[in-house]
Amino acid sequence: MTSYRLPKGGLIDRQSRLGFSFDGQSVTGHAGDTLASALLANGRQLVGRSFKYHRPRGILTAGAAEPNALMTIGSGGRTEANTRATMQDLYDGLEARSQNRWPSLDFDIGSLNGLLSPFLAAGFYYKTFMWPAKLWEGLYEPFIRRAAGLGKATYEADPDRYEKRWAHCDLLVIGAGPAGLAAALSAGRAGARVIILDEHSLAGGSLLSEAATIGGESAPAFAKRLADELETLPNVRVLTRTTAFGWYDGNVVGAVERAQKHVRHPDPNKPVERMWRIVAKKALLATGTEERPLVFGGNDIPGVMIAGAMRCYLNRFAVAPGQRTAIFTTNDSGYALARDLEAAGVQLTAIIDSRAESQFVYTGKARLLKGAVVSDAKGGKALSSVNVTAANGATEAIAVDALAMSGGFSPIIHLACHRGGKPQWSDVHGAFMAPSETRGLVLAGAVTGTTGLSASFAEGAARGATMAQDLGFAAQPFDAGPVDGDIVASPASPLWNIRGVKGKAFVDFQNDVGRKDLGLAVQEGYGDVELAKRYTTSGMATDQGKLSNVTAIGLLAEARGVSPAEVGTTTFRPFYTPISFGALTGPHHGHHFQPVRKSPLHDWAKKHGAVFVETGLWYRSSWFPRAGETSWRQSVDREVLNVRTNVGICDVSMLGKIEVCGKDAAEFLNRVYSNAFLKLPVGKARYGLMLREDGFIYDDGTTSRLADDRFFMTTTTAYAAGVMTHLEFCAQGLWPELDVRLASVTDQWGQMSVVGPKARATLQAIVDGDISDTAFPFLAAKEVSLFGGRLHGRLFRISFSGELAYELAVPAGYCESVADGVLQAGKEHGIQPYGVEALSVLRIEKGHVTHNEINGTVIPSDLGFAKMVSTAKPDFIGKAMLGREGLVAQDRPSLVGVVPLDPTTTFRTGSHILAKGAAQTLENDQGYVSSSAFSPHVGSTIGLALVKSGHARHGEEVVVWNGLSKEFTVARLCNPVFFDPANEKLHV
Amino acid sequence: MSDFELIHRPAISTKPVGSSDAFAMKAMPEGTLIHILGKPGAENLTATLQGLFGGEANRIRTFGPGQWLVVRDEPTSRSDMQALFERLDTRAFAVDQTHGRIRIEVAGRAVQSLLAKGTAIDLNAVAVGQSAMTLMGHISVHITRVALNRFELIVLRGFGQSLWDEIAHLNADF
Repeated sequence: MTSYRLPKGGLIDRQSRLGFSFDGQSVTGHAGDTLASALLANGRQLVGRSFKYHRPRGILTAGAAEPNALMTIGSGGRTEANTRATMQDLYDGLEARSQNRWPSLDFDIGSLNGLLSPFLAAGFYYKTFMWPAKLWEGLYEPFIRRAAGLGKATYEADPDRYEKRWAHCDLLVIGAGPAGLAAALSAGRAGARVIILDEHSLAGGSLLSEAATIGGESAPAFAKRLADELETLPNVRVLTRTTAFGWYDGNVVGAVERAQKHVRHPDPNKPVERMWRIVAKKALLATGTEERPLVFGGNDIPGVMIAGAMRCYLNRFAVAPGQRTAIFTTNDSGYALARDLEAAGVQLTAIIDSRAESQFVYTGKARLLKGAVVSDAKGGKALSSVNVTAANGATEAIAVDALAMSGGFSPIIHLACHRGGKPQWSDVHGAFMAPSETRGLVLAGAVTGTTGLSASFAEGAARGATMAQDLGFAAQPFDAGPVDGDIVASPASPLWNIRGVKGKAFVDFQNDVGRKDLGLAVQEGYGDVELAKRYTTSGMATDQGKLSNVTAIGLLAEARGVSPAEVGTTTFRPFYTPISFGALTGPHHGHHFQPVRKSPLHDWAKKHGAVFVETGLWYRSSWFPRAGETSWRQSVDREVLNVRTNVGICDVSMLGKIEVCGKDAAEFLNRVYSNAFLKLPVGKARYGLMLREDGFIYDDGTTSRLADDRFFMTTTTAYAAGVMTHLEFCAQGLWPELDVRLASVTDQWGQMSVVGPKARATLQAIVDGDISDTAFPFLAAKEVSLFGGRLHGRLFRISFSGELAYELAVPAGYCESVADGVLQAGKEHGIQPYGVEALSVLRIEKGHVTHNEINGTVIPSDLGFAKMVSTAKPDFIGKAMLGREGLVAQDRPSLVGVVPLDPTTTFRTGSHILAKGAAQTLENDQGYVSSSAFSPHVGSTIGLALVKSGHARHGEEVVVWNGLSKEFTVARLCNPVFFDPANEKLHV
Repeated sequence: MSDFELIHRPAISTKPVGSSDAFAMKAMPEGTLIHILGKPGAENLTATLQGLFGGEANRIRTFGPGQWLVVRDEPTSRSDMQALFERLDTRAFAVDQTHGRIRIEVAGRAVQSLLAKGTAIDLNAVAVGQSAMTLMGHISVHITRVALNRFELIVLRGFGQSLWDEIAHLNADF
């Protein structure tokens, strides 16, 4: 392999040799290289295959827009597909593999697709694979996906750490080129908090590839000196290898720092990537420009490269692009490359300038062909020659192995458009410029159309100083000093269509979209920029058209006979470049995926062998298996029977608990609930029904009056936060005149249900006062003294099971100890802990509802709560809407019980109800089973169901239909209260 | 069961994390934590609260418009707390949250960097004694700067251990 490394120059460390592999072949590079520069230095032109036609592709750029040199890096869980070789810093031991080829990069069977290219134009899939439709998923799509594509993600777990971090600053500078560095120094020296970031490994931007001198100092050395000074300022943070990917409301910029993507063995205690969310008082966009390719035949052959990239590889990495080079340009910037190539001793064969006239005076040795174009490049896996068409139409072939192309410059304005602004076409600049309104985001340098180092330094310095001054800092613009060798390339007219093209001329390299495809899109009525994008796939790949979009718009404009301004652009959205899922996830995976909310009885349940179930963020004890029990049903049946026979204890700490305080608290609750609360006596609890404004039930629970001006509300577990928010809205927004204050006390009180015929006997052993039925009747609620006055709790005589039951709330820190005490006290009564499964069986037996039934579509009367809708109250939330026609219809679904006729049969929650003999169609659907369980009390499965006119259909034989499992169960609708319908047990 | 041994169990059962100058974390005593809710017209009770709860042991934290937290390391007896509540009566409601919220102290040179991994607050702008409600990762946290490099985090008891585990995880690189 021929070395293209120049004997001197560049910002690489020639003393440091790094070994790496490409497709299994061992090669070497130097510290300071990117993977791309190291491959080029080793003479490796062919680095990938194109997406559709599997055409040989080489390195086109030196930055983030690279469409061709996409590689799979690493191995095992660290495998990372579609890594841009141009952005990957070289490290010792790096493993890189080319993609989308088989069996090898040099001999790729898939390249036969190229022979079919006349039939594979844009829209081919849409037109061809329409029939037979059933073959699409089974044949066509898998085949197409196999034939085309990018890299493959690994199925192994990523072993590395990722991190998210917030940062705040006075000034954020995006891009550490000449304008960005000048702005950061101007503000930083004045004491402003500055963050400056750049996506490359070194700060400096274009200065790193520049041959000019500043104040007698080389441009890269000057850039390093500025960056070093910034690093020394305590108020300045310099972030390299950091890409700003989005600009969001509040002037927040998202950025990803590739913190350890350039090392072989990442420190396991540090993140490999860090996602920054930067809140900036002011922000400056100094992102420079993207140089556009030119659309001539064979413009994708390895060896054809963007001119600025060639200059970067030459000057920054000391890599010669080839042995016989040519430049095809539409503007003066090509002459800067010509000067540098000749200075480096690289043979420059010709400069092909599309302009017949230009003011630049070229004094080098190469042939200068003015008014000429490269119409076609020739070669297979490497460039061999170019066909040049002169102004007079004459053609000649020039033998070259490297060709630089410059089709003008597109400012990198993506971030400036992320908050809704649309790019503006400028005929002067031949490019889309930033929106006129940028919501305070300031731009400086080449991104504004400014060219030349002196002008960029000056503009950046002025902008940085002004923004710092606006924030109260006495900032002065940084003075870079005189620049020698500055080539100021004035804007030139774009060259969209090139005459005489014969070969495949690509616009979007990554998706193999050619200029003919865009013409076809216009012919077929897809000339709108959004339609053309989708019809041709131009701009849809991982590079999102960074190189291709503007050219595609220019070609569309020419085909339609309009200006690019009229065509416009597609919408710019984050992310600017692809971001890893790891960076987006940060530390929130595995054990840290989401917070865990633990009840104060979590450890108590654990020591009694509970099996837990996740309920939102809570971990609830589901059941408590005992020795000899082989299924959860055995455990749950035992727990249910024990509650019905003896006594059980269950953790209900997860219920939402809210203290409602204030002299108007009763009035407040009276308006919030549909039933009356104004006259609830102190020491009493009441079941309450809370409606939404539209009349549907929102939540339910008991609320107890502890004092004239203090209530204790419980909510369902799932709606605890929602109800608290709702109440705050009511208090602050709807009725600010009411004297009411709200405090969430969910975590203050650990709460346990003590349930069963022997509940009173058990509790009386720890409660100091009398809790007989006389002293503490059903729905009593009061503070109680426990354990001889050593602790105080709140006791509520309420029941979710239909049994004699109490809920005891105690300060959470003592909850486990109190539960131990209850178990000890209940031992002689046969007490056992029970979980939410048994709790659910008990409540279904009693016909109590939960959010299985309160599903957002039911009103009180649907659930048999018609009497809980006060007719006496002047108003409450939901009252006005309850009278709507649909809510008073007689055939509304209402709550019923369901039992199978044959107790040995069963049905499942979610099954639907059919009238006896009705066909199994959705049209015949009568409702569905909202809850079901095996009832030890009944001896069969039982269910609660919402059924049309259900309240009037008790006793009717129906079929319970599970359409998914094709199960049918003959059943009977019945009263939803299966246990103690007379409520006698509640009052014992 | 007057002889039953009542045991208080703290929410954080893990040992302190870190002991270097860079970062350290410890659970603070679950002594006293009272939630004060000012009545209408009593929007700024800071001075009143300082009079009632002032002294070295008690610290007053702003908790939102018209709301404060009073914290202290030592427990407050039931009778003392009731007496305090009664003295507040005309101006505010008080709710005992001693068991509902726990306190964690984080300190060290790197404490701001660590907290910045979870909170969107500009901690440079938080003066000693100032508080804010924020999210630390996915967990709601009340944060107070108690010294230049020391912060107190108040979190719902149920999330206490989870917050602790998350901060310990984020501390790996300090």
